Amino acid sequence: MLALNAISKRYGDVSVVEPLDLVIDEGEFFCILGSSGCGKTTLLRMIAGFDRPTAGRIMLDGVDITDVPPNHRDVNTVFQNYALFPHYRVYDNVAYGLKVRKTPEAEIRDRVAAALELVGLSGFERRMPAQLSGGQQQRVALARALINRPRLLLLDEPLSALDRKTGEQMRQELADLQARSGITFVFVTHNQAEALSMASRVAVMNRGVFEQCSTPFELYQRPQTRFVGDFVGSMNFFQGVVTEVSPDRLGVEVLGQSRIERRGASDLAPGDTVVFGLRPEQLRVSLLAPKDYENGFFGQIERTLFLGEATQLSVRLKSGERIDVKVPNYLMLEDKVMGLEQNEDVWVVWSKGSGVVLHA
Amino acid sequence: MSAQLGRRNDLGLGQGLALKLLTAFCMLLLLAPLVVLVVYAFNDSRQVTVWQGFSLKWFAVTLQDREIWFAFRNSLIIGGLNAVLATILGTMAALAIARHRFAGRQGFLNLLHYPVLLPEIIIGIALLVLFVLLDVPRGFGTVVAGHVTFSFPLVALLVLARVGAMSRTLEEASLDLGASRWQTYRFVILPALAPAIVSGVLFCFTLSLDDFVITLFTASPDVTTLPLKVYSMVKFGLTPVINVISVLLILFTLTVLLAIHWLQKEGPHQRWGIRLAGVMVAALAVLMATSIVAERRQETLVIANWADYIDPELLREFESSTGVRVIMTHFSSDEEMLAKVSFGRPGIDLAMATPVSMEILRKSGLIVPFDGERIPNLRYIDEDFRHLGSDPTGTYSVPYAYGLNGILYNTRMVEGPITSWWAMWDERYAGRLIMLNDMMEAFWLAHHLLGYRLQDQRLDHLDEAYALLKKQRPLLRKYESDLVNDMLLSHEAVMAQAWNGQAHKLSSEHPEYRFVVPEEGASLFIDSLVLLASAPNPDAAHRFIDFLLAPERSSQNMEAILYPMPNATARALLPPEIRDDTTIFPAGVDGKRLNIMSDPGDFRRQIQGRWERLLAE
Ligand SMILES: Nc1ncnc2c1ncn2[C@@H]1O[C@H](COP(=O)(O)OP(=O)(O)OP(=O)(O)O)[C@@H](O)[C@H]1O
Ligand SMILES: [Mg+2]
Repeated sequence: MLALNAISKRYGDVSVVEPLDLVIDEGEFFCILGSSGCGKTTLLRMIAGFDRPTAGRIMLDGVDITDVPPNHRDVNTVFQNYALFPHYRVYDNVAYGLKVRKTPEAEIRDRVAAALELVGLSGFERRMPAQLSGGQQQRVALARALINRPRLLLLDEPLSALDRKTGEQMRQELADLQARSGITFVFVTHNQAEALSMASRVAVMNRGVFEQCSTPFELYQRPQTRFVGDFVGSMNFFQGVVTEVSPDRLGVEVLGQSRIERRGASDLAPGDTVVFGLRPEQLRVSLLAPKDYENGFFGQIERTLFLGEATQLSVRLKSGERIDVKVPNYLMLEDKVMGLEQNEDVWVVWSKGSGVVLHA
Repeated sequence: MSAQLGRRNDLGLGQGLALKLLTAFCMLLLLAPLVVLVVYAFNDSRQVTVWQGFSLKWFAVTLQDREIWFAFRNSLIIGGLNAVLATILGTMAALAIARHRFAGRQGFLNLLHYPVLLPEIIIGIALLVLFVLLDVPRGFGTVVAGHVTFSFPLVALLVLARVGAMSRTLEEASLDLGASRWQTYRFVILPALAPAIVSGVLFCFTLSLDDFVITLFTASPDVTTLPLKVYSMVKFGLTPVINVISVLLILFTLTVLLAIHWLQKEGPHQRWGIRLAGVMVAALAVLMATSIVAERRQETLVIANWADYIDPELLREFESSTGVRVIMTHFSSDEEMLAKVSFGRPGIDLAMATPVSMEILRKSGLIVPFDGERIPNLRYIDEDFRHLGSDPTGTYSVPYAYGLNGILYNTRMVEGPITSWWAMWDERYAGRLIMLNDMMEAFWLAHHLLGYRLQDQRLDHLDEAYALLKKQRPLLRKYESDLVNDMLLSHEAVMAQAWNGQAHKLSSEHPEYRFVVPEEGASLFIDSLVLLASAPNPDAAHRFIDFLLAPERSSQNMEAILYPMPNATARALLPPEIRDDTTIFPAGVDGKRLNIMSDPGDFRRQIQGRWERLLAE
């Protein structure tokens, strides 16, 4: 439905968005995930029509809309700061898009009522925006955009100003809303939990380029770059060398030990240097050496960090490297993980299928 | 509106006692002069600083004054037009600067500060020169143009500050929701700017209403505004009429402000109110504009005159009998009159001139002789006044009225009767004497008392005269021309050098004050009407003078302004209490002892230097 063909944006010498291609399908909940300043808003503004791409074309439903002004694009935006009209009541804010299109008064009234109902703000019609909480403002912004039934709805970090609980609740509501309305969403965020929980597909953006674009599961389980692995969740990385490649086996030597890994990029050849990544929650600590279906490193517990839902142990390996292990709390005895003390020697163990092998 | 722009808080900032006291003090400082002004509008006395009892009579006097109404109407029209035009231009300029990139944008922005930085008088002169160069006749248009020039940049700066604070995403949101650029301006940008625009309108309106300097330079005689009118009235002493005008202006402004405040609140009443107010203002504007256009069609006669120096009844009579509309334009000094008639196309027919200014006008060819044939009533002018030194042929001027300079004193506090100018050197009244704040009068008197003639222009005589005045200086309360009556009435002073017309205003209400022309003689002023070479309507000018000189009208005029006119036939017609009033017509005055001031030429510099030393003491 939406297709970006090699669009890019430069401000003078600074390249903010590198030429990138993207196709979004009808009814998708598409997320763009990236750290602050990576160009997310810039990309969104080009789709909405506020900024012109330096190069490339934007197609909507097969029509080139690159030069179409924003008020003639069937696209609506929920702004990062909501941008509610401060001098209008909630009702007039929501009705704005219909009013400027000269919709009959009666129809406006019905649709505004329906839109406010949809976002759970019935009865707030006469409030001024300054009399609303951040979450309520966000819903008004959403209703104001949805009421126009656009082909495409762009959302720029709409949940970032909310507390975690409200934010999580809104995630659920947004996902429901999207499913019910069938409108295609492009949702920009720097919060990976938002992206993973709502999106049908996620694009991870870094310094103006897409590092990876896939389903949340793929993204988490099979990050294709070191950046993605580290940015989505967290990951321990080690330098390694490929020792063995066969259709169902990949051998990698890490820290002088041979590890056999089944997963990973298959275009590798023996002798290639690679990065080997392990997520903290894929690891466990043990006083016993790994079994043959497992791999392991031996080290010393250096630090314990209580996270609430889990505990993170930092284990210093013999070689001097450090590895983080996330231990679920059912393994806690009082405030210690399995009764382990600081400086105690342990094995860090994972099953052979875990971990990713990436190009260095 | 402010409630919509940010959330309130309960920090309670600004509730400390010290701050409250400071606020109260500032309010007091601000309001005290206003309170005094308002209170004295209800004063029974004609003095502005001496309380005599409650009265509404000055309101009646003010509201009946046709010229004040004209001036007020003109001020309203100019203020209204300026408010509309300057606000539109200013808002457009602000939006252009804030939202568009164009060549010279920064320069334009900097230029907007010029009315704040440049002295107003320079802008005024620049406008005047421009209009003269372009040969644009001065009138409503030029005044409005002048006002718009200095007020629209202020609106632009006001609006610009607001645009700067306004998030750009609001516009983007509007476009994003399908609004066109025009709809975005109308529904988002303008409402967000509304507070700044409303203040802009008010600001321009009041600036216009208050403006004196720029109006002075850009107005034609028939476009007298309220400040110009008030200023010209001050010349003849402050009267409570000025207080009344101020009170009415304050009321007017308050009403407008309250109305706007009410209109800014949201609600169905207010919506209707705004519409109604808009319709009314528009209707009023159209009415006023058409009334001006209608007036323009009429034949007019424009006279530059001192304020309150002609009986308005006579003007009305002349208008109804001839169909010519008479427009008075006022000045408050000779210099101002000269400036008024000598620039560009002043549009003035007749002007009131002193002998000195008449000489200047004649030498520079700005006035032309009257056609005596067309003014048969000239025959009533007293022979003595027909051939004054400044107009030997007697054709360039028609003497109008004159006045004498003498001593005005409080008979209860001064041992009388006073007969000599030397009473002004009497040490018994040290610190309670007043001399006119007039260099020529002071030095003429000193010369005269020493037996010299100022016209001889001798430095040794001048030095002696200076010594005499210097001796008097420590005895004087001050040199003062305008507030003489008030200072006498408040007993701040007991004796003063004064003009008889002014003295009459005091002695007619307070018989304990007496005016005398001392035996040594006195100075005489004469005001004469002159015909400008550029007069648009010389025919009406001749007719008007003939009309005025008819004895019964001259008599009526004298009765109204209470200055003697050189018209013996007319004087005979006066009611006895005026004819025999020794203040208006001082007794024992014969021509020989009276001085008519003439221009001292370069000798003025010598006199000036000494005068300044006297003032500095
Ligand atoms: N007008 C501009 N001129 C120059 N650089 C700009 C301009 N606008 C944005 N940038 C730069 O482009 C980069 C991307 O900005 P963008 O607003 O797209 O970031 P973002 O990913 O939305 O960040 P955030 O999560 O903080 O909103 C930033 O480094 C910013 O400094
Ligand atoms: Mg952003």
